[in-house]
Amino acid sequence: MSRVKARIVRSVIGSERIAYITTAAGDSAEVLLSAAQTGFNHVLAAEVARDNNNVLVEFPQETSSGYWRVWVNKNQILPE
Amino acid sequence: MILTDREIQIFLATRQIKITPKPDPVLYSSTSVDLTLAKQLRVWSFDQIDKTRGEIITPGPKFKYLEFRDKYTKSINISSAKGYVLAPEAFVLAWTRETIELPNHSRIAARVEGKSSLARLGLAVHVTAPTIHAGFEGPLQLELCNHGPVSIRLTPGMPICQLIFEMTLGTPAKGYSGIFLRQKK
Repeated sequence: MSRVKARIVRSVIGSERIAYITTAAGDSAEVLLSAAQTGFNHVLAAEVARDNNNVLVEFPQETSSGYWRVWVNKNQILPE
Repeated sequence: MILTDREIQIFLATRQIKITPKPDPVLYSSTSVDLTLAKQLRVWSFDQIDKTRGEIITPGPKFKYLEFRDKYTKSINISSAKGYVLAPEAFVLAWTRETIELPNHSRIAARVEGKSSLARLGLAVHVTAPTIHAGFEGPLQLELCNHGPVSIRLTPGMPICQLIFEMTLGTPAKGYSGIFLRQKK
């Protein structure tokens, strides 16, 4: 699993977090997750493809815009 | 067994599953692929909120669905700019932009299901009929209903449903030849 940079916000339910991730297109993807799938500045996601400067990642849940997979710039992936 | 994204892509490459046009990589999840909304909708030719009309449908041997459909609905094309606003409690027929083919020899059936991002808004995409039988060919018809309290704008090309593929235990004795084979919009 990779750690993707994200702004993490507490949800109304204590075990949930809302993550905002910057996509390769410059948009903000919103995804509701278990707290265990996030850190203070990142969300866990699986890398499924790479294309030049971008990485296609799959989040543990569907984003609010309806996609499980989102292209992010590779600089959004935190080093291991 | 449910196919993962890798198996779906292998089955597409070997044409054991056919989806046209080919789904964009972002439309996959680990165990499904999203389909998108076509621009054509079938909407009711009367005000759905008016409950006083008094029509009664009697499903059975004498019921002709296509006559019913043509009498009470009209076909419209929605634009990307305006889309179609589905009011609370409203129900329309829609289709996927993609055409699906599940050849009998592939031993694949599928289920069309809703997406959680839309379900949270109250949007249902089928009315208890999610099965895509082995042998099916055509676009998928969706029965869109807004169960939520807020209107939902539908736009062509939006991810509208997800398709989950399952392997059948054997090969069907005969091809699927139901009335919805190669269904028209």
